[in-house]
Amino acid sequence: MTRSIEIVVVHPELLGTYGDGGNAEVLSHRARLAGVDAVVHPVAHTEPLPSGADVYCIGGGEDVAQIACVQALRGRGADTLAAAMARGAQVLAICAGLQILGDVFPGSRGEPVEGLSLLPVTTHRGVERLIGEIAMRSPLTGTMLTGFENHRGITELRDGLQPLGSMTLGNGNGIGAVDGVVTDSVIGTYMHGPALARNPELADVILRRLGIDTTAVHDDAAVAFAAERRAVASSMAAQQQRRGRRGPSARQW
Amino acid sequence: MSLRLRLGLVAAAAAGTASRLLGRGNGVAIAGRVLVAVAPSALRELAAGRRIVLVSGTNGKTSTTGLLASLLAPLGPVSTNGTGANLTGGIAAALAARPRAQTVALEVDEMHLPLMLDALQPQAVLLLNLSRDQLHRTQEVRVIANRWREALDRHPEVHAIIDYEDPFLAYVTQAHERTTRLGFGFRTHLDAACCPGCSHPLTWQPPRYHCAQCGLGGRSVHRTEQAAGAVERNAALAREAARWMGVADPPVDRTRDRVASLRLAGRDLHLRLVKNPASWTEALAHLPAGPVVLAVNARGVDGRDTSWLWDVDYTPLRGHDVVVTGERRLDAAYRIGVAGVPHRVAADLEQAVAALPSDQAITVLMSYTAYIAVAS
Repeated sequence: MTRSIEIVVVHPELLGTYGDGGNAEVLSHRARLAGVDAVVHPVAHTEPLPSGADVYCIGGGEDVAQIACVQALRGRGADTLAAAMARGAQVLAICAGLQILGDVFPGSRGEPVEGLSLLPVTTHRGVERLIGEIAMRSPLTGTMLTGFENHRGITELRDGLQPLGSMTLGNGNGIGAVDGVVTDSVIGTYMHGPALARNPELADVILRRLGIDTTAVHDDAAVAFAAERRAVASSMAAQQQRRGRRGPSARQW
Repeated sequence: MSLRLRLGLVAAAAAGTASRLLGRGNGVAIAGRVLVAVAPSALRELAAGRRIVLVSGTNGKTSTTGLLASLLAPLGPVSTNGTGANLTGGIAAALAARPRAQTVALEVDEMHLPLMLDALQPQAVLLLNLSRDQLHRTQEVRVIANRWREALDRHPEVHAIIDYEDPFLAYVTQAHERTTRLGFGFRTHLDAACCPGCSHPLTWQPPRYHCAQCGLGGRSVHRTEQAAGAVERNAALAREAARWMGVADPPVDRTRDRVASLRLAGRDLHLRLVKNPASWTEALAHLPAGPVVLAVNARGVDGRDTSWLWDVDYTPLRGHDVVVTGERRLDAAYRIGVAGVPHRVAADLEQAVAALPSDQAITVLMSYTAYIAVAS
C-alpha cells in the first residue's frame, strides 16, 4: 500500500455517540480492501481540526452536545472545513452533523441556534420525533439506501441544493419527501449512526471521489447485510402502501 | 387495611390466577395492575409503616435488588420484587405478597422512580447508574436525570446512596443533602460528554470528571472502594444500603448476574442478558474462557436500531471461538468482522451451538427478546 488517506472524526465525544464511529471504520476497512491504507484520527473539541485530511466525519448527538460542538467549531474549525470542501476533501455529515453545517438549527427548547453556514440549509424543529427505518432511491449511488432515523429536525435545502435521495420509506429531511444533501464535497443524511455500514456503496462514492478505484472491493458480509436491510425496507414500504399511507411526513408538514 | 384495599387484593389474586391458568405468564404484573385499579391508594397503604429501599438505574437493577434483599435478611422477613417486575403492578404485587415483612427492597423502573418516591415514601433510594438504553424507547438520559432530581427535591427526607463516578447521579444528588457518595476510581462515561447540569463540556481526567462551569464532580466521596466492574460496584452499593438500613456488618457477596444456565444438544450454556452498550461492554470485558455465541435481536424492547453495535469494543472476543446468531445476526456479523474478530454465522441458537466444540461450556450473550425466548 503506497497511498494512505486520513479520516478525521470531528469531536466524537460531542457528536458521534450513536455508533457514528462506525462510518470512519467502514471507510478505512473498504479503503484497505481497495489497497489504500487509512488512518482514522478522532479529534476532540479541545484540539484544532487538522487542515489536510481527506475525509471529515461529523456525527449525530443530542441537543446540548450539538450546541457545544458548533461552539467549538465556530471560527477556525469552520474555516478549516470550508477550505477542505473547496479543495475537494469529503465531509460526511450525519443528522445533527448535517444540521450544524447549515445556517440555523433548533436548540434544546426549539430556539434557533446559528450554524456554521457552510451549506444553504435551514433546520427547524418538527412537531414530533421521527423514529424508524428509512429508505430512499439515490441518484448518487443508483441504488436504494437504507438507514434508521431518530431526530426531530425539519431540514430545508435552498439554492437548488440536491438531496441524497427520494424517500421510499420514512421521513428523512421531513419536507419534500427527500433525505439529506449532496454536493461535490459533502454527503449529509438523516440515516443516523453507522450509515455507511448499511450502505457500502455510499462509502465507495466517498472513496472514488478521493480517486480510489473501488472496483476490486468485495466484502460478502457487507453485501449480505445491506441486501437484508433493503429487503426489509422494501417490504415495510409495500406494507405501508397497502395500508394506504405514506410516511408521517406528508401528514405533519 | 381499608375495605377497598381488601377488595383489591381479592380481585388481584383472581386476576393473577386467571392469567397463570391461561398460560399468560406468572400473573404478577396483571395482579398488581388490577389491585391499583380497584384500590388507587393501594401502594400508599401497603407501604405505610414499612422501611423501604428503592433500587433504580439503567443496568443491574434486578441482580442488585436480589443481593440487597438477601443482605437485609438479618433485619427480619424482606418483601421484594425478585422477578424484575419493576412497574406499578409488580411493585404493588410484591408489597401485597408479604404484607407483614417490615423491610422492603424494591427494584423500580427508571421512569417510575419519581412516582414511587411519592407513593411509597421510602427511607432510602439506591441509584446504580444512568446511561443510554434504547433511544427510541426511553428518553434521553438527561431527561431521566432531571426527573430524578426533581423527585428528590420533593423528598429531602429520603437518603440517597449513589456511585459518584457517574456524573448523571452526581447531578441528580447535587443539591440533595442526605446522600452517601461512593467512589470507585476513574472511569469514563459514554453519554456524558457534556455536563448533565449546565451542558458545558466535561473534563475527563483522573482522578475524576469535572465541570469547569458549575463544579460538578468536585465533591469528595464518603469512601472509595476497589471494583473491577459493575458487578463489584453494585455489590458495594448494596452493602452500603444494607448498612444504612441497620445491618451491622453485611457480608461481602457478589450480585447474582442475570445469568441462566441451559443444557442444549448436550452442551452447557451460560446465558447472559445484555441490553445496551454499557452492558455489552461490561459483559465482553469479563468474558470467561471458552466459546461465545452472540444472539442479537432488535424487536421493541431490544431497541429497533442496531447502531449501538458500533459503540462497543469487541477486541475481548479475539481468541474465542465466536458464532453470531439472532434476528440481526448480519448487522452483528458485519460489525465484528470490521473489528477483526473471526466468526461464523448461524441461523439459530441450536445451529450456533452445534457449530462449536462440545467439550467446553458456551457463553451466550443475548439481547432481551432472545434471552426471554429461551431463559423463561
